[in-house]
Amino acid sequence: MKVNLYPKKAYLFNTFLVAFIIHAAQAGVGIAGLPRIVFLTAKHDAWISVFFAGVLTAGVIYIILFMLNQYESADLYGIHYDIFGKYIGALLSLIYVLYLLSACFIIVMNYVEIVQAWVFPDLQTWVLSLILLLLGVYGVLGGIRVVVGICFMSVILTIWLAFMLSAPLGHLDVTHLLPIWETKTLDIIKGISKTALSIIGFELLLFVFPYIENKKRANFYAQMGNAYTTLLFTVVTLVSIGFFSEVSLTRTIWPVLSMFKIIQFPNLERFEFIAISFWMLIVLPNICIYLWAATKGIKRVFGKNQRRYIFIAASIIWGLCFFIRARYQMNMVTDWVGRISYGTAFIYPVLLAAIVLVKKKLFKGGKKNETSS
Amino acid sequence: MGENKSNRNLWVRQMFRKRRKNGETEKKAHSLDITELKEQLNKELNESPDLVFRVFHRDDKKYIIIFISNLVKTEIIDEFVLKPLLESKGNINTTEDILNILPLTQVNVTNQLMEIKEVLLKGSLYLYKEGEPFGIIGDVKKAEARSLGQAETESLVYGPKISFTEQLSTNLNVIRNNIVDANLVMEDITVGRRTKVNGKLVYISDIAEEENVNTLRQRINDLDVDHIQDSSVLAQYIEDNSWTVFPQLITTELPDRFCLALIKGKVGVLLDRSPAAIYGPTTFFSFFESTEDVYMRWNMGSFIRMLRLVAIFLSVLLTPAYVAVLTYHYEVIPSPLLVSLGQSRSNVPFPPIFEALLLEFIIEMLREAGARLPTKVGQTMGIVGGIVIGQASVEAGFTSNILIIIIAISALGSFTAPSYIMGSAIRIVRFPIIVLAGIWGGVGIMIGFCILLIHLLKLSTLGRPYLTPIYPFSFHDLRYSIFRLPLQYLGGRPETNEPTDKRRYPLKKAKTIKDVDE
Amino acid sequence: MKRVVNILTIIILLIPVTGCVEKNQLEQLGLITAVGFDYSDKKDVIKGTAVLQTFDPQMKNISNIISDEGKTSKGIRENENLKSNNKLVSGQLRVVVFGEEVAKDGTGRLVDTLNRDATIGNMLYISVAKGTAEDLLKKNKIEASQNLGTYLYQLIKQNVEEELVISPTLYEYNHSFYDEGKDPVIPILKLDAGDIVISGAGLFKDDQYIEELKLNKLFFLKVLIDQYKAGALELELPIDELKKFIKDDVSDKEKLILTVDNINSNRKIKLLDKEKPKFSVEVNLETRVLEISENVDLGNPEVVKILKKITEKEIKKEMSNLIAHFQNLGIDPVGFGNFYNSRVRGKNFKQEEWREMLKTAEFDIRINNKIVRTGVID
Repeated sequence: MKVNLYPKKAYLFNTFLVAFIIHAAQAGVGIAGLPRIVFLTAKHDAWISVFFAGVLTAGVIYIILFMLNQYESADLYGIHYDIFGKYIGALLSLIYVLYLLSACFIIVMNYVEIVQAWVFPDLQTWVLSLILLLLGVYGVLGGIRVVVGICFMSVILTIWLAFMLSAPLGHLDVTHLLPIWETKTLDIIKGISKTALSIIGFELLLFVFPYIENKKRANFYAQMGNAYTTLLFTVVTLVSIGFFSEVSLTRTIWPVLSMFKIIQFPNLERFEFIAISFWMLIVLPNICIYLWAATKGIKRVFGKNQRRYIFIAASIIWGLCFFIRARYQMNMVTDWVGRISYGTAFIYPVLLAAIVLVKKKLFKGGKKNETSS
Repeated sequence: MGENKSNRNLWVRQMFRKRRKNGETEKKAHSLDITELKEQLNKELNESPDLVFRVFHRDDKKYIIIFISNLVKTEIIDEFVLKPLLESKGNINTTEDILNILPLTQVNVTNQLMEIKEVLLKGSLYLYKEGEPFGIIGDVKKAEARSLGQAETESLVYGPKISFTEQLSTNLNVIRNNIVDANLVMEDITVGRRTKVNGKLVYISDIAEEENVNTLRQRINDLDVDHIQDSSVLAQYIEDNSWTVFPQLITTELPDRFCLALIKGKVGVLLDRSPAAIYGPTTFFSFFESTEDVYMRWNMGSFIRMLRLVAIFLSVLLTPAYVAVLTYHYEVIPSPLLVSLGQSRSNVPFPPIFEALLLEFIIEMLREAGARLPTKVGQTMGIVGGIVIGQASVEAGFTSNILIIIIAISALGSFTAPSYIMGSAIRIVRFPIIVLAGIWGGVGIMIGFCILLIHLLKLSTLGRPYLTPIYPFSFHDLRYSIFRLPLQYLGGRPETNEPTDKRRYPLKKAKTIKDVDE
Repeated sequence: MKRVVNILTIIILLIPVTGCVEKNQLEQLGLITAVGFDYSDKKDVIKGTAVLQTFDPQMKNISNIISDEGKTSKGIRENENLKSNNKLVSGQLRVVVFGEEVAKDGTGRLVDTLNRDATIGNMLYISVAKGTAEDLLKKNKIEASQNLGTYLYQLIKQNVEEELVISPTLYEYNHSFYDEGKDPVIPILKLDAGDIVISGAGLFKDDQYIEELKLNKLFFLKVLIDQYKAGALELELPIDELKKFIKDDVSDKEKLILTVDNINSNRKIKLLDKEKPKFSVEVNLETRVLEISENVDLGNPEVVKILKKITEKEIKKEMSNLIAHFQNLGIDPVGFGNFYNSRVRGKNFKQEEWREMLKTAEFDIRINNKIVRTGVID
């Protein structure tokens, strides 16, 4: 296995697309339930938690890119190989692959659950998850170019959903938000950790990095993407708190979708039904990019054809869908992955960056030639 | 990801390629004896009854003229071959002497039997003086051609009206007249192992990007197929993906459209005997551009382009939305609409999906019938279809009248595409989405939409992405495809074609605004 | 390998076709557009009355009304479904009418199911019937061209837009019900000689209907709750101060009737004292004189000045009475508690505590009325 990846020039993508990848990967099913989850711990100051989670993410993104820039064109798997050697590196890579697959699984399942709760209560879980995974497989088979394309198109085509927030904005009750910072600071910090599952996605930088055209500018665009996500999440949380009364918000599982209920057009009512269908376009890039990153990892470890791994990985995820039967199980698994993601997306990259830095300091000079070979 | 590039898309193309490269014309000189030559050619051309051998003597030497009577203009042979030969004074000793007295422009000297056979089939004659090592080929072709007429399939309200004809030379003439530029290159190409159709690869050498030219040239050269009937068939052979419904090369019968594309840096192909030219690389959005957008003022041009895109969008999604709402999502209908929708549906015995598919099918039948019938009858078809079937089916309680409106709008929308092939593609795409809407409602529509999106993202045209300028996003190119800005902003060429010469006129000068009163 | 994958894909794609979902074809549905809840004679049993919209090619718009009993609202729907040739669905529910007794006992459980059911929207209107909801829905003589549910919806909507009624959507009801320190206000419908009319606004304490507020007092409540953008108000004013400006002989009259419209209002509430608590309420009005019962020269600035003064006084009087009345009842439709909550840090109280505090609360009301126009004539 090589540390650095040098893709053909045709597979490199324009640097500004990094912003779209980051945003598309971050905004997924999580945002639909985010306001409530954070509200449960941080109360009406939840938006402050969300905002600080975004700031924290910006820092982690900076560290990740700092680490990646130590190499010429490496991804996480290459760094594992470089730092930990063949066997331990492969093991760590595979653990990360498992995390990526479980994140993909959570995304699929949460979307299926939304559809079942709101539109089709009798739609079989395996049917919809199969369709979503097949869509993902179809996208990933097109390679990084198509996956990035899906991220871009998804952001462009769903950006108008953000403007739909203007309707609940008219019903905003500012008294709900006051007084600011009434919640205990500890609860606000706990709220930050609750945001983790929704804001993950930025760690995919670790995998798309070799395919970025101008690697030096990547940080700027990644920060832009994260800034937009943070803004969107904060506004959504803010509006939800103002829109719902306290009891309602703690009881509403998907506040964002419930807010869409009040939108009425002359030829259309009950906008949430449109929004839920449209949500598939928000979920699709998530599925694609996680599946891509995971199967890329398997390929980097075991070699051979990625095409085969894509089918295998998708079937495994699909198989897991049969084990989830009720909402409480779903909650448990989501919570579990949320906690893991806290480690894999936030803590681990920072630790790794420290190790990389130490190693670079220790082996200054001699190592450079080897990595670039 | 290079190894992942789908082989499946290539296998069709490869089937026709590189199989009989060794079967090139064998070298064989013909016999020097006229009687034997006759026999040889008779054998090669299967004793064709219209093969004519005209033998005559001059200065005691035996001459022969061979041609296929249906392919040549006999007057030319009489006037410009026989007459000068028989009437000329002086000695004729060598083939060169003959060349000197023949008033023909396109002549050639050869003695290869296979070559002679081929040129005879293309409408040349072969003149041979017994005993000489070489004979003369002269072009006396009689070509049946119609004169330049109005475009039929792509019509413009405003702008040039002529269209390409079936004759290559006429078409080339039109293009040369349109683009008076020394850098306009017309490379010879031949397709069809058996029929050897002539064609030209047309591009402007200092605008078109070399890679595009090479790609197109190589694809045509690598093509191994016995016969190509029309340029649209050639387009299908050399496209990147032959499974998709979306065309990846534009075929047009409008010379002005073709020339405008050349100026933008595209590469074109013209084939003899086909009235349409191909050009590429073309993106999804260029199928919704018409030259009329450029001929009209920019604001109207922009408006019409947007209108087309909206129309296409409606055309794809309106009927599925109807099916989804009436089958599953009755909640989204606001109360004023509820009654009229429910009333009109209440006496229809079929489920909405069946009703919609039925009507879509009828519309397609009407369109097909109208297209196949002669123009005069075709008009009555429209009346019969539109009024009689529409009215009667509503009254008989077969369909709801709201669906009739929706189907009519979506049919209308698909016809706004300036490219007939793209319009058809849009209509085909609608059917699976209707079915998906019938199975899973709004979620089904989104599934269809996502498949479509991924599919479009995967497509390429001459190896370049199909969805530009949206993805890969190019702000610069938006003004050439989705919008149509005022001319002072159109001083460049679309970056997608990677033109070598990037500027059409100096932008700075075009954008300069004079101060007041100066 | 590749062929296997292809075949698998096709098979897998075919399976979902059999995995269909429940269809709701519009013309086969009985759409419940309005629903009324009453108590049955039996214990713990609710009687539901549903107004259906069904589609029949022959008859245009028939209001099909079915009622049945059950222990839960979904149970009622199932029982009603047995009586109908259409499948009953509640996705087009527009108006919910609670019978007076049900409303007095508390609407909580019934509203909870409305919120829980994803097919029900939250822009539907909630109302209280005087008497039973069943009578209201069944015994009216409205022969509107619309379905009765749609008719009721339009009736309320139209009045909300005219700012005569406070908007009673399910969303707003939830909002004020669940907010600590705020109580809902819901319109009351009654039968009047076969017509359905809005008779007043029902004041709620939590989810229980307490008392009816007459429509002419509603103005003062609405000014306190939110902004006015149009709207009209009829005021009875003492005539004394204006007498000398009136051209006719008015010695026998005591009251002057004034109608103002195009009212623009905003209100500012301030918390003056956290302990007591004490609020200051400042209401700014911009009005246009539309009708006046006596012949007064409105071109005279002095007249306008006096008019301004006496209207302010009158409005202030009405408003103080209203707030005092609320304090007596222990309810808070304005949402002073909600406001108090947002101004005081770390004092998250429950609804009941606030009700006690409210009784001793003091209010300092100030009204500014600006008469901007006097119509097209002076």
